[in-house]
Amino acid sequence: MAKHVKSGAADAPPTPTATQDGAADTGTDSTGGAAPMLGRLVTERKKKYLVAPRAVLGSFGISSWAAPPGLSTIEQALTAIPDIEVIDTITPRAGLATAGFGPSSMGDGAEGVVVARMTDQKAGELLQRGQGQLIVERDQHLALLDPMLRRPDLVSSLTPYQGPQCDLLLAVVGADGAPLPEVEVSLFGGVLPSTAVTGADGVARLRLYGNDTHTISGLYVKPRADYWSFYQRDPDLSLQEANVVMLRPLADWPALRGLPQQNAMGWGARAMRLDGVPQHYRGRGIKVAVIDSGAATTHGNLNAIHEGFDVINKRTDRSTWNVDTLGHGSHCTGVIAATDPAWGIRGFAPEAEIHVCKLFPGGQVSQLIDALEYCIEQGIDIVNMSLGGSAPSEALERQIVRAKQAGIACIAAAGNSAAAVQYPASSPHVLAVAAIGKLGEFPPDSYHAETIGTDIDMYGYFTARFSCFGPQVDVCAPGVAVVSSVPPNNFAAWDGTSMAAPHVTGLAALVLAHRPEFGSMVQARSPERVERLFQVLRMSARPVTLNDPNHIGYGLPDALVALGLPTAQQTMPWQSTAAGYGAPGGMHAMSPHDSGWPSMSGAGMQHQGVQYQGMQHQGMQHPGIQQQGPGLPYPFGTVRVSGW
Amino acid sequence: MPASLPPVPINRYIVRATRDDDELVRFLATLGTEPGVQVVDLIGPSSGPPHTAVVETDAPTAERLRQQTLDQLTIEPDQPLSLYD
Repeated sequence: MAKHVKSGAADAPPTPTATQDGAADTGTDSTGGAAPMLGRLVTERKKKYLVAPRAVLGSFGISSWAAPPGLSTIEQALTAIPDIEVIDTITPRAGLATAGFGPSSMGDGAEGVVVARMTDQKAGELLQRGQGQLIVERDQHLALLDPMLRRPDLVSSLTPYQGPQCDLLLAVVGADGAPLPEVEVSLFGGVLPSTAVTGADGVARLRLYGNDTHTISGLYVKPRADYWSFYQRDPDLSLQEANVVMLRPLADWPALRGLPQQNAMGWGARAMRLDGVPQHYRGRGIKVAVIDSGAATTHGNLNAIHEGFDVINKRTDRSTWNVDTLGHGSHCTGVIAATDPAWGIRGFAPEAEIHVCKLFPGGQVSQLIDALEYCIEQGIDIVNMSLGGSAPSEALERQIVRAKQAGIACIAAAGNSAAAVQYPASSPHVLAVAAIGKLGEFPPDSYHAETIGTDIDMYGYFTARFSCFGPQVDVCAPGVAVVSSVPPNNFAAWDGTSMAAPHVTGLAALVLAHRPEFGSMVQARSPERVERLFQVLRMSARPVTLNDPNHIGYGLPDALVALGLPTAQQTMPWQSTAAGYGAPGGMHAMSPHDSGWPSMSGAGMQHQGVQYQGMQHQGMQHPGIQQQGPGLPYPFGTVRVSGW
Repeated sequence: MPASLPPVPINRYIVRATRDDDELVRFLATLGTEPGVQVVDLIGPSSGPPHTAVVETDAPTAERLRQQTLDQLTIEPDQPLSLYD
């Protein structure tokens, strides 16, 4: 009899064979192939809750306390509910009850707390049934205030010198039950975090300090490629038998059906309306540099790349830029320029000339300066920098200015520390990109769900919780569950502002190649062209999420608007609810990088429409932009209400 | 036998001229008198003098050089970079 497996996805994979006591047989067959793997599927466990009576004030103040149920009444009621397990009842010792105020003064035995184990759902029901007379709250884990150093992130000074230790087995299988090797498995919470990698048998062996799996707050299963990740908060784990996690192939996801044989466009590209851009808009003639970890030209979507510079290895061999040991650069490059129109994923600018500057592992500021020097020498148009340092660098800033003077548009990821925008994205000469996600574009039991912010708009867009923020953020772009190319010839869904920046870089390449006004400017790379490109990208953006401009900048750039293509048939609500768009309600009137960045509540805040000033005489008017009143000279145009 | 002091850690520093790249050239020419400073890389256009030098030295020497060249050069630690995935 198959055990029911809790799953939030509509297209859940077949449940592995399981015994009635929870053991699951996930092997392929009994005659050959992988050996049957016995274990129990990992689900959410019941958690400890604190349940206590609460006195409720009547409508006439403290003189009319409504009598709460007694503690023994609560304990009896909880014991009678099948799904709830009463663990402990804590009552004050005789004579120690608080006196004079509240329920303890009523002498009805209402002081104390019942500790019970139940699911989150049951706790919610209990709270509702209590009608305000019950306190039902999670029994939270406490942590020692160990001063964690920023680097290395996972090193703690805590070392358990004695006490129980045990090993936990976790088997990872695919939808067909075959074991998946090289999957990273991490347990959080407990005494110390624990990490292991699955072997050829698909099993990871994790060392736990202590013998209580109830202290584990999270299980993260991260495949190398081609599968969605898995994350379970408060996992129900066994020390007696193997715990089993089944991963879903990326290609099972409706929007990625048949990947890679069936070419797919990522959700991010669709959100930016690349699917409405004519097929012949492919970025030809534009040079894009990706300063990252290299790009694997073994990949079917990256094998048209021929130019690069291994900055790290330049003393011995500059040509090893096409070896990407981290996969990061390959992922970013795929978003920008994945080539094959029939296989894999669709990049924004598949015919752009990609230059790969390999800086990782081990990149330092000096090598980024060197990479930018290469870009200047090569006449690069756009640079993607999904990277950053811990502090601004004067030397790097001077090189960025040099690059801009040479007509290079630098686009950088804002950072993933959920804090102030990091450098070089914080440079006023760089376009800073924050990360957003969208509900429904990843399985709810994947780790991507952990990035969901609290600012979800009516379309499901949210700011990624990790994304850096501040007035330097220019725009936002998809950076959650972004599927792209990884070595040697695979695909992976990753999160990060690293993944957001390439969306904007790819669109920038299309804009330079195909927006008419840049046709005459391509031959004249200049800082003015860089500023104009940044303006076009900012002004094409529409507000998404419920967050403020510090988190999303001008919003999500729109390919059709940025390219000056017709959008009249579009009926997106942000177009119909606003007289115009570009600067969302409450949006700052100028670029976040302009010197006139007003305060959030200042009079300079504009909304519902934008206008460039001082552009008409240069023949560079954005479609639909009307000229009104005085303004600053281009490129530092003011943005004001005009209803375009 | 007295215990030997631990070796002074050697770090990488970026040296860049604040205004005139010739300042960097002049600085590099003086390094013959600084045996504790090793030039490990020079960055600049292929058709001109370098604008940036990467040197290895200890922190006290780097600070001394920085103080000596405040108006002509910037000398700063060569920081590691991270990817944002």
